Amino acid sequence: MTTIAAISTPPAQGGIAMIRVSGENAIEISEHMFCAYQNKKPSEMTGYTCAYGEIRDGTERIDDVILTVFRAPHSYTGEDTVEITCHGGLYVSRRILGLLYRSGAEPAGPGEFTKRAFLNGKLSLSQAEAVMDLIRADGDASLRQANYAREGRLGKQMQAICAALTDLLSAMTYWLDDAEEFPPELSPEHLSAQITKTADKLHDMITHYDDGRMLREGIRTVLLGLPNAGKSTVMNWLCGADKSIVTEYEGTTRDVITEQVRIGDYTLLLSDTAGIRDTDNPIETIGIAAAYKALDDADLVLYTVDAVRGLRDEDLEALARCGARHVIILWNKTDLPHEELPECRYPIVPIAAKSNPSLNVLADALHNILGDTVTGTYISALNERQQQILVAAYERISQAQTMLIEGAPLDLICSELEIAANKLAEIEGKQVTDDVIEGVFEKFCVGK
Amino acid sequence: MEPIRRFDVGVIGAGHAGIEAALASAKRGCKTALFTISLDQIGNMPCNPSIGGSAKGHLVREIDALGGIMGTAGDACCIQMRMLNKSKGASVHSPRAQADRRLYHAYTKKICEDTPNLEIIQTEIADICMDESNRITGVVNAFGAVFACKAVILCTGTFLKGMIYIGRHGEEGGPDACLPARRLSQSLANAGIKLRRFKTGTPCRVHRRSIDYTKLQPQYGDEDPQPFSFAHSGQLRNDAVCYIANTNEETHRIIRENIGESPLYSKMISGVGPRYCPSIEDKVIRFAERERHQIFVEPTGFDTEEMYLQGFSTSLPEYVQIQMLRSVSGFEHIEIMRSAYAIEYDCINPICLDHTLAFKGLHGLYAAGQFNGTSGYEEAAAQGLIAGINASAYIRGDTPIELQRSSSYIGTLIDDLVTKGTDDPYRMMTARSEYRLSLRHTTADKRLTPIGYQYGLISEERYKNFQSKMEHIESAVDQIRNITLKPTDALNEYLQNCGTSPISQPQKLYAILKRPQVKFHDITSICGIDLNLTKEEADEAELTVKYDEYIARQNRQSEALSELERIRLPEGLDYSQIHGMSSEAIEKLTRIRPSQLAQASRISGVSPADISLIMTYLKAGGYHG
Repeated sequence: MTTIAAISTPPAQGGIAMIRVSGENAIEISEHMFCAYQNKKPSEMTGYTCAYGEIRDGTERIDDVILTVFRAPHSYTGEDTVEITCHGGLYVSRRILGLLYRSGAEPAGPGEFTKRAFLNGKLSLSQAEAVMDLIRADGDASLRQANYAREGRLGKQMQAICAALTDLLSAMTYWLDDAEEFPPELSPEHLSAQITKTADKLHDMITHYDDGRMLREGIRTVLLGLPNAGKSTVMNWLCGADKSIVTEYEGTTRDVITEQVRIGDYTLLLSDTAGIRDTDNPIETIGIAAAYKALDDADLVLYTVDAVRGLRDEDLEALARCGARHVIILWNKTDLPHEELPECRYPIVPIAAKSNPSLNVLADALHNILGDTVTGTYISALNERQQQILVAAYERISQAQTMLIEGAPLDLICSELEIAANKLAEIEGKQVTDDVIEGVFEKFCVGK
Repeated sequence: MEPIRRFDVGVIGAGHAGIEAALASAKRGCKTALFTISLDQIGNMPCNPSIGGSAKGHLVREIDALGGIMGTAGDACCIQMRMLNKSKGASVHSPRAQADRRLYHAYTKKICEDTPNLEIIQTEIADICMDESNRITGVVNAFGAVFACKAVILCTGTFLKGMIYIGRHGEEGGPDACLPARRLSQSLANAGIKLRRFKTGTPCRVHRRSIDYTKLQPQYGDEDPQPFSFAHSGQLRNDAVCYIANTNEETHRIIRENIGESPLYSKMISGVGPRYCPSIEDKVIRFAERERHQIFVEPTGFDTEEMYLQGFSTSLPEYVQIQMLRSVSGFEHIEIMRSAYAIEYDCINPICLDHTLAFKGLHGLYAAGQFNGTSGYEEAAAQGLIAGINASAYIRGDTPIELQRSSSYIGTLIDDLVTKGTDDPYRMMTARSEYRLSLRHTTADKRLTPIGYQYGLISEERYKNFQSKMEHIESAVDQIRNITLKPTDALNEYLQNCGTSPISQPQKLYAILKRPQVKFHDITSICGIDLNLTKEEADEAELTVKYDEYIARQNRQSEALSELERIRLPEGLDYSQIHGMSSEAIEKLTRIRPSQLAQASRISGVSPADISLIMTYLKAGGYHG
């Protein structure tokens, strides 16, 4: 049996998290990244003992952990098992899991720990049905997640990449399987451009994919608003400390100040920006340019409006520049006599930032627009797997790129791309072979 | 009725599947009858006078490696040999022979005649007989004579309820003006076997003298022709010339104007045709943007003037056929000797078979070839060989042969057929295998000859030669791993000449040979290394070095699958009893009845969770004992 790994604690923020690794190489794999403070190696540890140490990615220290070794058959699954208890928080536990995957563990399938426990005789027959329920429930959850992902941006991008690869493979197949005329799709320039394009797209998804990134790094958020709408007060309210200089003069904030804050289930990376207005002041102009630059990269805009003055034309202009980004309007200064809430396509949260109200109002608004996508409660398992699959596919495609440059024969290059395409298709539980062959018949005049 | 003769195995049909089936069965000691509608059509090539081709050449090599006849016959009847796809990477190199059609018939007929335990009988089989426990007991011919058989292999090709179409005219008939098998379909239907209609087509045969070859492009055989058979020695005949002609706008216009006369486009034929081998009207209609299509003019033999027009199969009326041919440059005065036609025939959806090619739920009934929904002589022969071995294993009580996908194109072919079924005549392609890199045609012997030997189809002598070849290759690869090359001027000059970087430190020959541009032959002669290998052995050692790493990676991808391959699924498994299975999975698994879990996992609509559930259910069943 392969060695599998998964985060066994609920995928949410908490005090500690536990990652379980099970299978014949569980101990060896964990040894790659564990560095005990008392020189205890997992391979030298007896069952039911634990060691205190750190998990390292190369030379980088990731977290202090407790590592417990269970020796077969005396473990939950009946196989060699390692449990790594680390500090809670999705980021850390996911990084450790990623390391485990890179060292040879595979993502656990639906209900797999329990299934293995059952197959290894650790659970009684009367529990079998419960095990099946678990597998089915997990399977359904993965399916829901897969469906969800399919509709999401990631799914669409992935499908586009899959389709491009399948087209390429169909052309290769057509050529490899006895075509007399060389398909223009396979001219070295075209082939190389296609492969590079696909590799770049994958790379982009791996490093920049919104949901995954928002989950790992936080949601890039800009605070926008007209001068003196109270952005810096809002910033201080969100951060709970005086980060921005709060003055009564318009145009005080000229830098982009970045701060990480937790609001409910979400991590926001906040940039407080200069107020947006036409100005001749050169320093302020730079600040405003920086604000728009921050807006370009943003996932979310918190747009502060001075409720005393109400929504003005300049506000509408600035909002128009937010494009498709998520926007929440903070109707600030409601402690003063203020305008009515206007009709608007964006959610509006009335606050009086100055009086430091509870952050829950904002958390609710965030939840309404972002849903569970970036909190880790919903896409957890899928994203680990997806990330893993994307990385594996990317590796194969970059390998194909290298081979193309080295002048390797087409069948070898084709094989790398096939592995990559099949990897990507795994997300939807499909095999690409049939699609490739369909593509040959559809696009090319085959046969003599 | 009292049987007039008694056999162990009866093979119905003596085409490429039937021949292999009958020979394998007889060689393995079973008293075998080979029934054919016409003794003069044994091993006939009613379509293309050629053996092999892309992926098909791989099949021929595999058939030969297992001890079948097609490779030897292809070599013996070869008139032109070419290695296809030479520029495209070793795993898709595929041998193809132009064959002398009448010689192939005579050659295979003689082999069958000379084989002990094998009798050839000219008759039309009308019925198969089974006892009350669905055990095969024999066959009955059209005149009521009974032949007792304990096992039967159906290799009916395109004969079963054959209908020939030219234009809007349909006529009962078999290939090449043979009689069709009119009666057997009803008997099969009575036995609960569901039949369906497929169709295929063949182009015209024309007279050699009626073509202006100066307007065509010649195509010659290879300078260094490689045989199909691993046991071949001596020369191959290789002097025939093929030619390439092209259709043009005028040809396409004639086709478009007359398309209503096609039995397919006018919906007279309901049968499904092969996508891989479309008729010329299909090509012109579906790929309207193409300005021309190639036509290959191929001799059908040495003692005949008939030429075959590959790429020009059609079922348009004869008056259109002559018009469209004469519009082609070089064909202005063409004389048609045999008209092109479409043929429609009965066949099965092969998901009713298991991996041994036996019908599920019946005992002793096997099927191979076009009857199973494939197209092509090679696909047919491959199945025939496996069905023949397995029918004889059934008689002898041996373990049947079930080739895994990773072992061969034959295994891939059969697994595809019995797992996915097929909606149009199935043609082998290298893309159908996820193991393409390791299934090179040159490794067929390594992969399959030990199995052929185990089943008694490979002689002691041949097996010894095989073993010594394997040892030579293995030791050569070992030596390549160990030899270190010093950076000499001659070596670096060579490396730079072939476009790769020179070396400054001593390096292993293995590492240098891995470079795609570096040729084993060149580098050994430059460095004065002699490993004392035959050309075949040297080539294989070189490919092993160049492909090993990639194959290892490919294999890693499929390790998890082979685990599932070991888990057998009991025959009577009731999937509806498995708690939590999706209804789609239950429906498909019940219909296809996979034999092991890996096969189940390849069925579309069966999820990894379903596979887990089956595993758990089986384990739970184990507790019941």
